[in-house]
Amino acid sequence: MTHASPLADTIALHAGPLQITTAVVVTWAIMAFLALGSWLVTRRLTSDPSRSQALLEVLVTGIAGQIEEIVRKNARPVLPLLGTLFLFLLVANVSGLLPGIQAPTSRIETPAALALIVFGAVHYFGVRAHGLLGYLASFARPKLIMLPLNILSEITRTFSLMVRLFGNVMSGEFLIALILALAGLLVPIPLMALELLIGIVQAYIFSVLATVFIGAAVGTLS
Amino acid sequence: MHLNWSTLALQLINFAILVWLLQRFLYRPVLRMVDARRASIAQQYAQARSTENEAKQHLAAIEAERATIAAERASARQTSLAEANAQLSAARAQAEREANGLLEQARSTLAQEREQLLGATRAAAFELGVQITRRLLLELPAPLRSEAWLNRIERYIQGLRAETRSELLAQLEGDGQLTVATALPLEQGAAKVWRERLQQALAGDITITYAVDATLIAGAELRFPRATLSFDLGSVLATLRDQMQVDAQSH
Repeated sequence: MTHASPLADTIALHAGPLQITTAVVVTWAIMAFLALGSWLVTRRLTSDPSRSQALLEVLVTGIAGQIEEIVRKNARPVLPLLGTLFLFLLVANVSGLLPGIQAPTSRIETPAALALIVFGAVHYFGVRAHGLLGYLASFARPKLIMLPLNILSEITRTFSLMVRLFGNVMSGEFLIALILALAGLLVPIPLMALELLIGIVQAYIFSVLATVFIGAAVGTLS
Repeated sequence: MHLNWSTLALQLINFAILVWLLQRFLYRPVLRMVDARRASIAQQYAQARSTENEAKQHLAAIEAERATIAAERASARQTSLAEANAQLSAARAQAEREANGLLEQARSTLAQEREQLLGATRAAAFELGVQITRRLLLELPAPLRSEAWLNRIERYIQGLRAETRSELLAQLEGDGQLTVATALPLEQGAAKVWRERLQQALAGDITITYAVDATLIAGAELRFPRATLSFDLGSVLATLRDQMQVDAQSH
């Protein structure tokens, strides 16, 4: 949170012609944290669960339950994507509160990548549920004249998904950095609490909207 | 602001890898464990339901057996009650019959005793009457007593048909004799009067002897060899006593 501009990108290292930004490095760290934590907890699963195992089971079954409530179908096929989306966004949004850490979602590339993944997943599950022609025909409903609008809607809602996440997280970090620079060390603490809440809410909103989009694509939602 | 395409591409790859990692280390093992637990719970639930059904069947069998036992008990109780009532009724009837028999026997015995007592009382009264009569007659003068009975004998003999009188006289022919029995011995003068008036009444010369019979009380008996004419108060009273006994028995 020491950047002068939140929009400025920081190159952490180079791998040949490939520039590795800090957002990518932090993402790797988050990936390692989530994967390692999951492995540590799930390597000795028992029928009589420990506290950590019980917490993990509640988390996974809770996410699956939320998805099933929205999609109204079996959540197992979409659970890895949507669950990972929520967990990654949760950790990534909150990670910006750690000193010296830049949240990956405060850079446009990460929300854009996640939005692109959601965009692709929506059509993947839509085609899988209705077939290619059936799914494409759904864009012409209820009238053929709606076809351009439906296609435009697919693009704009993906774009809004990206911009909403990016704007909220980036503005929060920018505001905290600005107040910290102007007022002092302890003044931004309430704003940091608010940013924590916003990060959780944004992770939830992004995941729920992705779930809704997929549900609409597979035809369980109108 | 510009878009770093390499970062975008790396983040796409990173997220895809993260999905695979979490699927490998989080969702799959956790869901497998949850499914196993749910299967185990479902199995235990099915087993519990099976056990519950078995328990219900056992309970139903026990209830049915209990109902059968209750029905048998009620039936046995009804049967025992009916038998007891029958025995009670029979015993009561038997007791009533015996009581009635005893009552009838007592009544009969009482009636017999009463009759016997009444008869004895009647006989005693009669004997007392006889005694009183005898005492009263003894108070009368002897000629007066004799005259009255003699007049009655004469009227009787005179009233007999001729054939009857002849038959009586025929009995006195040869060694036959007429015995005049009186309750008290006749004095010599009185005996003479009796002989003369009897010979006159019978119109024949007949042999007369005298006898004393205290049972006659008063009056006399004319004892022919094959016939007796009673004109005494004893026979009258005996006839009266017999008639009284017959009347008492008929009532």
